[in-house]
Amino acid sequence: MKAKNKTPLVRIVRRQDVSRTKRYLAMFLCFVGALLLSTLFLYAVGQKNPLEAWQYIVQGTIGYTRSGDFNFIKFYQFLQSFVVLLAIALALSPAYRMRFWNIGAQGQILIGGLVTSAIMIYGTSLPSAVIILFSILASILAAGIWGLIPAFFKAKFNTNETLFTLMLNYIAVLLVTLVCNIWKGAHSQMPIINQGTQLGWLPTILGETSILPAILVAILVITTFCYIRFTKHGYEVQVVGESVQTARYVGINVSKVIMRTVFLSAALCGLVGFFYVSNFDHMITPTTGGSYGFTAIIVCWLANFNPFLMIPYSALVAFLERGATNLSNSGFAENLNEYSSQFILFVIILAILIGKFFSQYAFVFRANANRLRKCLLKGLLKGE
Amino acid sequence: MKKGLLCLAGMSFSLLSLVACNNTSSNASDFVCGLVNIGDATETYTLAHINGFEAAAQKLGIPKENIIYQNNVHEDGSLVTRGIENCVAEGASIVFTNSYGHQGYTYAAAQKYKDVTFVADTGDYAALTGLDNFKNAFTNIYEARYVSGVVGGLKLKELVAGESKDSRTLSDSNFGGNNIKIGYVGAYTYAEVISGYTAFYLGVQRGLEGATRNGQPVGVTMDVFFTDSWYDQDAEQQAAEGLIDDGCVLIGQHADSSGAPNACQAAYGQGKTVYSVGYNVDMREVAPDAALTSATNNWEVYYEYALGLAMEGKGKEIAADWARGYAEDAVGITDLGKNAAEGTAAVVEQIEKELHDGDLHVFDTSKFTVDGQHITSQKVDFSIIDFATGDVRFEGEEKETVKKDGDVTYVEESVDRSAPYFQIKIDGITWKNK
Repeated sequence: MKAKNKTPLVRIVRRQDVSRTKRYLAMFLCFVGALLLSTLFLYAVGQKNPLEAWQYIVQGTIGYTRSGDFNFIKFYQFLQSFVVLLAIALALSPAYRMRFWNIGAQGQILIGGLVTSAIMIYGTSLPSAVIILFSILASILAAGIWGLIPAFFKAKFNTNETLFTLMLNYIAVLLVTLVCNIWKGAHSQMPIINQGTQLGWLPTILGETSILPAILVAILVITTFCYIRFTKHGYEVQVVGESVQTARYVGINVSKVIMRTVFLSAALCGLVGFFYVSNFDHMITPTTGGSYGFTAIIVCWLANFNPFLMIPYSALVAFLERGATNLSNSGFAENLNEYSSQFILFVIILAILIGKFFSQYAFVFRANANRLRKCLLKGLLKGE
Repeated sequence: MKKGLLCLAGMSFSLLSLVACNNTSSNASDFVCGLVNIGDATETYTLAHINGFEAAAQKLGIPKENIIYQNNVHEDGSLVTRGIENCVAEGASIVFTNSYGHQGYTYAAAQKYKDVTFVADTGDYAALTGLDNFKNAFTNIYEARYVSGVVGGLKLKELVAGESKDSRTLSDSNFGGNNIKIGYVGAYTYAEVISGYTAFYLGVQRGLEGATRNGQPVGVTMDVFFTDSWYDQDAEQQAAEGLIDDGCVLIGQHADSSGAPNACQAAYGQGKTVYSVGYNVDMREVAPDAALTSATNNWEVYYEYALGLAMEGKGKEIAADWARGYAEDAVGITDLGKNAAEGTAAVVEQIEKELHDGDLHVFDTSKFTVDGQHITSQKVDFSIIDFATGDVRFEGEEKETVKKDGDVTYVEESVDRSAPYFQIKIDGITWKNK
């Protein structure tokens, strides 16, 4: 009963010999492949010229009227999606660098939005600027504490943060449903909060709600980058992420770092919730934030938690998402509805992920022992 | 010679009309319009809007590709704003939103895009905002509910007389004293629903007139059950089931699904005596035995009016508050079910004519009482209150709604504002769950 051969048929081995250029080339090729695949999909499902379908996808961001005049309306919609995705991805990145898998962004956004709406509704005797200030502070604090709960349990009892933050999403949704039901009373839905007085509404630039957030997010990209790269906090996060043992050994208070970082991450998500209520929607519903709290996780991963790389990835995702909506709205092909159009988005994301995977890892088969040895040896030399 | 002249005149006339025709069609081919719907064609309320919109567009020669539909736009934050903006982005010069909860976003869009006309169907404050590109529209659906109530009442009368074609009869459990029990599945406690079920109830009374049991005149009492949703198949079905268990013989509805007719058909199949009066669409498909008729909106009338003006670039001239009923065929009832009482069609025709000519006032104060008294005055404050904060959003006038027409005193509805404002709780109707 002796095991004949303990070597598995296939092994996944980290590649050590791939240059940065090659890595990006691989991802690019996958992206092009995905484009071709999506085009094929558009043709198969839509049964019409797929290039025309792509035209509608592009027009989801760069909008023309039916008579051919350009306008910015769709671009601003794109900008809102882009900015929100980027902001959430940025918020997640410090926690992810620490390998704290916070998938509770959605709930944290809702909590931030909920306290903002409460202040806007009950604070109508205050001046607008005060309401806004209170809302910002309260949304940061409330969402931060919401995130602190799983962080505390992770730090003290090493509970699974993925499940914990996931479950907190459901609780946040139910909490918002409950409060909205109280606010709306016997009515069919919540009204737009303070629509008459515009109390607590964030001022707009050029009458558009997405410009101010875009500017703030640009600042946030740089701040997050600096925080991760150049501060002591950022360094501690890095060490904890790589090895908790090492972190303890060099005298880092691991619990403190976990709780502080997750608080920060959740607080930023709460701020996104504030923007939803005070700036974009002026109301709260259990679906505020859409599914961006989850989509941003993908953006964050694709970008290797690098704030600058998050810019193109958020833009790509927002572009495809707006395009898919536009394609289905255009009525171009009956079968290309919202759902089938969104399919393209995920085909492309998946392709990039696959490209990323194969540029970092290789399959080594049992027969190819030389290759394995080579890979492992290179790793040893590099100290891995 | 004469003939020749006539011929010439005829030719020039047809030429003229050709030119006119060309004018409108070239107008129509550039004209883009948008309709933002809470549901899609699978949901009866939205289907009625889409059908009306398409019929109107076809009449006006607007090509299908110039209609921008935004479907499944729930009353939910950025969804509505995006739906409306997508229409504007495509170059729509008029945009309609079909649900009450869209109104706030429609208003915001009207403030932002001044060159586009916006209509919040079923909304209630466009006139108070003072914007010339923001409108409301509604139908006088209460008139159709009255007529559908008459259809139900005639059926009850037939049942009381023991002459029902399907040989169904009434039992003591269907009566409270000498009153027949009927039920109503309502969505919310809004004026729109109150106005509707009261009209339905008064219609039933009218249909039942002259019925006697044990030598006494038979009356009617109605229980209303609210589902807190415009569309909830299960809740509406359960509400109807509860009402049927209580002995209700007729179930009316102001909610958008076929839940209540379903429940009636199932109970009918079990041998119970119960019939359904639906809303929006013909319910005979789901309730072949139980469905008597449905009250329906004919939105085509309004869309033809509003789109017609918008096409001529006169969007701002559309009435800020538009509400029409039988007078312009903006409401009606669907074909009668197979179990409707003998002779119903003739009575319906007569009543519809009275409504069409303005000879009949649904809320005739001699036909109902409040706390046992006939009312002589009912003041309505048209201010709009923000219910979340309790602040007054728009200051409106307080107006007397009890009017006189000859020797008839009646409560006026949908004249000072298109959205219903009749919300008197009259005797004979009980709220079951509020």
